[in-house]
Amino acid sequence: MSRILILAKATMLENARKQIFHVVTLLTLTVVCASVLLSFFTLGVQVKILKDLCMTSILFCGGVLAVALASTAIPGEVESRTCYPVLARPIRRYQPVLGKYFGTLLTVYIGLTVIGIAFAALLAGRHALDGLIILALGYALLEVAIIAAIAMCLSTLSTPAVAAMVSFLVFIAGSVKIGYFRPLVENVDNPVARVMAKGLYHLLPNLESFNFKDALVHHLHVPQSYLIQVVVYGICYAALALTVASSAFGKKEL
Amino acid sequence: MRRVFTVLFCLIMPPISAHSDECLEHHWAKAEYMSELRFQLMLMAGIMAVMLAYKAIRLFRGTGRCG
Repeated sequence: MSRILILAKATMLENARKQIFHVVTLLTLTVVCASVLLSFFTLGVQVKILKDLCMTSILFCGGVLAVALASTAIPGEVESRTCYPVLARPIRRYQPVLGKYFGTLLTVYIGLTVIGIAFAALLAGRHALDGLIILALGYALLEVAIIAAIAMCLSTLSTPAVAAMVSFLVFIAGSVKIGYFRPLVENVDNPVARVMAKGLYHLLPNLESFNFKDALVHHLHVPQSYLIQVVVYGICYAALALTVASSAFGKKEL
Repeated sequence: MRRVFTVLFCLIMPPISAHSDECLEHHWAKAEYMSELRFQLMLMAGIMAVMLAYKAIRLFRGTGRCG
């Protein structure tokens, strides 16, 4: 466990120096801070729109950072051959995978925490801060963890560019899975195509379940049983993706 | 087609989505979301069981990385 933590810390420090992290975080922070300029609406509507816009920006920022950092974490090390001194040590193959994953996740969480604090400060300035922001942001972090796990899994199976593109598509598709793809899958006529479509449909992560933007905007109550199931689902999905990633990296000839 | 545009609308146009009635169908109140979550959990459990069984068989037969 300590080896994983050491690798995670090294990965976090390495990722924190990357340009994409600074650019995406600063851009999202600018969008969040600039949302106060929506002064042409009445105050009640302005707060709703501010919450909606900021949460969407935070989710998008988290997704982009998770895909960009996780899809290049392992292939980058393999290409630059900096993984060999690490693998020459007495460590198992899954440990660098988990170390890279947790390091990448920590980096993304640091960025999202900074943006989340700015968001909370904006809401506090309008006396609109409540506990639901912790719910919405917490589940957004869990969603980002799943996307990072998928990106890391795909990066061990293919090239970084393909992994990044497919991960981003999975992020978009998973966000509209039940609302958009379910009717499409049910209307497929060809039985073989329907089986394949259903297979892909059920493999896609259900990222819409982690989106509690509506609860935050409209002050809605979410059942606790649903929240617990979503957490269990998120942890299991990320664990499965990381298991596949560890298995694939373990079999890789370096 | 209307559903496509509504979903894209809600995804891309957040300020207006706060007022759209179509977008106020909350996922935690819909049975299909819960059933899909549970189905995927069972699917993941099945995949993990298959992977563990495969590893166990390889270990038992001694055909691991050193074998």
